[in-house]
Amino acid sequence: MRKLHGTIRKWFLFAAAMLLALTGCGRKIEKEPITLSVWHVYGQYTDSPLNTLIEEFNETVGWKEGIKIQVTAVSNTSNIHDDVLRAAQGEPGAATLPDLFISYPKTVMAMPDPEILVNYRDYFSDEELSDFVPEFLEEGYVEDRLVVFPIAKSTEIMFVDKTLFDRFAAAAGVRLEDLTTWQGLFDVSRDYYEWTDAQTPDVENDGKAFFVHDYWFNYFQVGVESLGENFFNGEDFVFGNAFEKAYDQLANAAITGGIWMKEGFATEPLRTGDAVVSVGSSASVLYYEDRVTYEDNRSEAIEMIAMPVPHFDGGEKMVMLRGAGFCTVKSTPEREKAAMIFLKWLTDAENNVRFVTETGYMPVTKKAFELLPDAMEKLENPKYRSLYKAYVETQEQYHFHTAPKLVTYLEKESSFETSIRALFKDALKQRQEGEDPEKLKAEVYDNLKDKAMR
Amino acid sequence: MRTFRDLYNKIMGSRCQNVSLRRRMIRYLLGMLLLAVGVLILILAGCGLILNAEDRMAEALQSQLESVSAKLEDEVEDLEGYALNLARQLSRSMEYQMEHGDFSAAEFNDSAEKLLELQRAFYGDLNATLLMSGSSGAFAVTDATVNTGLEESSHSRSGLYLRANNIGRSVRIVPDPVLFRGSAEIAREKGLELHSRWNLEFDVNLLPEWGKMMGQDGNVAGEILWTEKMRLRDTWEDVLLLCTPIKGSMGNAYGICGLELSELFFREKYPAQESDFGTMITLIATLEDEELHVERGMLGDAEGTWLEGMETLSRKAGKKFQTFTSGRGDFLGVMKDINLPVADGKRWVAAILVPQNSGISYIRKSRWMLMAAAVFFSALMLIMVAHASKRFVRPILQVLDDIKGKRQGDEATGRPIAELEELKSFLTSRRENQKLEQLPENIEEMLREFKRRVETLTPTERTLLNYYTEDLSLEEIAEKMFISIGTAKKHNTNLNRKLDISSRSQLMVYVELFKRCDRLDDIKKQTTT
Repeated sequence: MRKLHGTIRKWFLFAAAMLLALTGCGRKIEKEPITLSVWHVYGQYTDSPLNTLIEEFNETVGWKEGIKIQVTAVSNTSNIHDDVLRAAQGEPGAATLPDLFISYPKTVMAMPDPEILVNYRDYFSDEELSDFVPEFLEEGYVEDRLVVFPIAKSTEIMFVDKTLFDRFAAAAGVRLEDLTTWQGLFDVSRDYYEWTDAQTPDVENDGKAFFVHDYWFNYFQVGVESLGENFFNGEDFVFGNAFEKAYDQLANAAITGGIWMKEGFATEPLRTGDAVVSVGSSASVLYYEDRVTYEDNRSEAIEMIAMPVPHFDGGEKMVMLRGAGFCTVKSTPEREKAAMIFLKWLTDAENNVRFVTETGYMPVTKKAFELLPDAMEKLENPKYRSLYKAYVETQEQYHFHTAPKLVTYLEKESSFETSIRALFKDALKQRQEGEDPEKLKAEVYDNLKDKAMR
Repeated sequence: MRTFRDLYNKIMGSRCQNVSLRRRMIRYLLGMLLLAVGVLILILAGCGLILNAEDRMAEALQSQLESVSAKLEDEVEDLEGYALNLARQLSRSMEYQMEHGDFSAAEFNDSAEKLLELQRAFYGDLNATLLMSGSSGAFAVTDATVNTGLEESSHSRSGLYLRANNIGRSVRIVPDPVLFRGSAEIAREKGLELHSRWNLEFDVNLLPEWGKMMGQDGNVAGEILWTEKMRLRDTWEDVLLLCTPIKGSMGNAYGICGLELSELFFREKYPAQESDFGTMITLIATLEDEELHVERGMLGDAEGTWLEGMETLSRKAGKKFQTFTSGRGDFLGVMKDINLPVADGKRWVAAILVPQNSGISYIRKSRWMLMAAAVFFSALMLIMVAHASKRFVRPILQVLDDIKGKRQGDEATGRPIAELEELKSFLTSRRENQKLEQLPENIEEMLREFKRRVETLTPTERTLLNYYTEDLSLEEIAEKMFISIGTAKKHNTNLNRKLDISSRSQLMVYVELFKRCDRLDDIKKQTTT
């Protein structure tokens, strides 16, 4: 009997050895990566700095941890807002939500179920979060859940094509200092239109715009608040004295023709030499090229500088705080953990400073802010050096304004923007046809108010 | 219920019947045979000769390749059709403008107004083609520049290039165009966003097919040509361009036009397919000297792999599929030639790859499962054979013990084996005969006395005794003799009295004695005569 058991044991050992040999289980099987899809806004069509950093992450930490970040779209927050909502609502033909996407809290608030997003408090300890600038974190809370994770913050900055400005300044005697107040900027805008119009006396009304703003909605919002009044009353606008003052100063220049009111981003007319000064996100520094291309295909190297945004005489120096954050869509614990590893890597002080100084943003952690001055010293591109100098001045002298978290915010912003541009474009045309500027000013105001109230 | 009971009784009854040694032997051999089959399956599965997971994987990859190739060919054909149609439309627009303005194609040079007008005319056709063709961009380049006085005018050409802005997000429904090349005025008029790397004109030095299409190197314009993958300048996007000349009615080329297929869009169109053996990814690439140049082609969604689309994969042919290696991991896959007209005549292929690790893991897992089943089966058979052999040997040992007298009669277990019982009985009777041949004298006297008593029995009593020697019961005897049980008992009483015995068992001792002494006929004879 014992002999028989011995035989069986030998058979089993032989079979096990055969299995091991034939299936080759001694060889190591390498793990394939967890691939996370990303929609972001850093660089859009350009050679995106975030994409470069993502490549670095994939090559280093990602390779080690088995995580691959795959960028599937680089766009802007407005487009991502639309596509996230389409995807979240399961609209036919809409894309699937990516694992990570950049968004403002207002997008999250408009989602049918914000619960599909990860609450970062589940993955970050209090100690880890304590290193972030509290205001930046605070902005990412929606219904007491931290769903928008800050990786970079921006503010509005004024960009000046100094080459064109100097040419005009030499002829008209204007100075950069004139651009520190809105009134000064609008006055220069009117002068510039008249000066450019006068370059070709045989062609009437061919003057050029001097100034373009990315979001006139922000101009009014921050302007009204800086003049001590509320811009919003609940979900409605307040058309008070402050609004009228901001409107009055803008309208004088816009109806003359000194302000660019066509659709598109503020960077566009500066790249074609159709405007000289813009106010937009500091991050738009990526989209300003060091050349201007004119309509006859001549191109010219330019010097682009950055300055803090103008303020109103008698008003507080105030500027809009911008910069969306990353939202993570809930999936499996492994995928969510992988997303957190990436976000922790990206907000690590050194990486964060590298990232923001390449994209024109402010870092989000206290440690990264400590490293920022050194990083600024090392910047080689004068456009970026100028930008960070303007950043420092803004931080020292300005109060940051954060947009309210209103469900209808984006709708209001978009509708206001479209209306004001269309009304001023039409008014300019009428003024060029001989209509009274004061009458046009009043009409535009009434129409704007009427549309906004609707 | 009754049937069940009958069946049960039959089975239980059969257990009491003798079993043949041959049947046991057959059971044992059958077990051995099945064990051998199990081991054979184990070896064949281990060597991959039966139920091969590799075959299944190769079939699935091949099937996916056929499906993707068919889709690719259809799409390429559609795109080429759209491009040719676009070229015809643009040619008509140009000729219409020249005819109405009464100027030649060369006079587009240095005329911002004419070129803007031309771009306005081009916009509709390009936008419609972009919307309908399923491409990520549409472009048209004319052989004219807005400023011949510039140094770069030799390679700067006017045209229009629209790109879909919403690739990767929602382009499947409607492409949202942005202006990549062309007059900014067009963007403003049409409400288009200006691409952040916009330029007024094309740099045809970056368009290698320009010279061929325009017949600058002697080739005949009129062919469709695809470029290799190229990075759009200052952007992060890689594209293939499909180019075709804008031919005039006289056969001359006014410029070129075509469609763009961005890698991001390709990725969206060819998603990674999950399978049991890993993520199946699609790519098109050139094949040169056993190297697959993915960096010249397009990579579909590579989720779950480390591929980025900029790799060159070394190919090693295999029996069922090929192995592709790169610094970004090794892959198993299949490939097929595709017809993509290119300027340099390189061989283009479509390929389906799976990470080698997951492919091998799948093959191993399948083998493991098959072999585990075979091992389990073999083990079961081995246990069965061991049990059968034990059962085969045990009764032989028991009989030996019986013969040796080592075992008590009531220790018997299991069913008796017919052949062994016969052997045992033979050996026992032989031993008994040997014993009886030397019976003591008093026994002989006892048998003689019993025989004498038998002779005193009546014929009926002799018949009764005869039936007793045949081991019949009293009830059976009464039935056979056609008498009542009472009468039978009466005859039995007389029989006992005459033979001087008190019970049937005593009678049977005498019968057994006569039987063992082979003298049963002595008393049977008496009864029958």
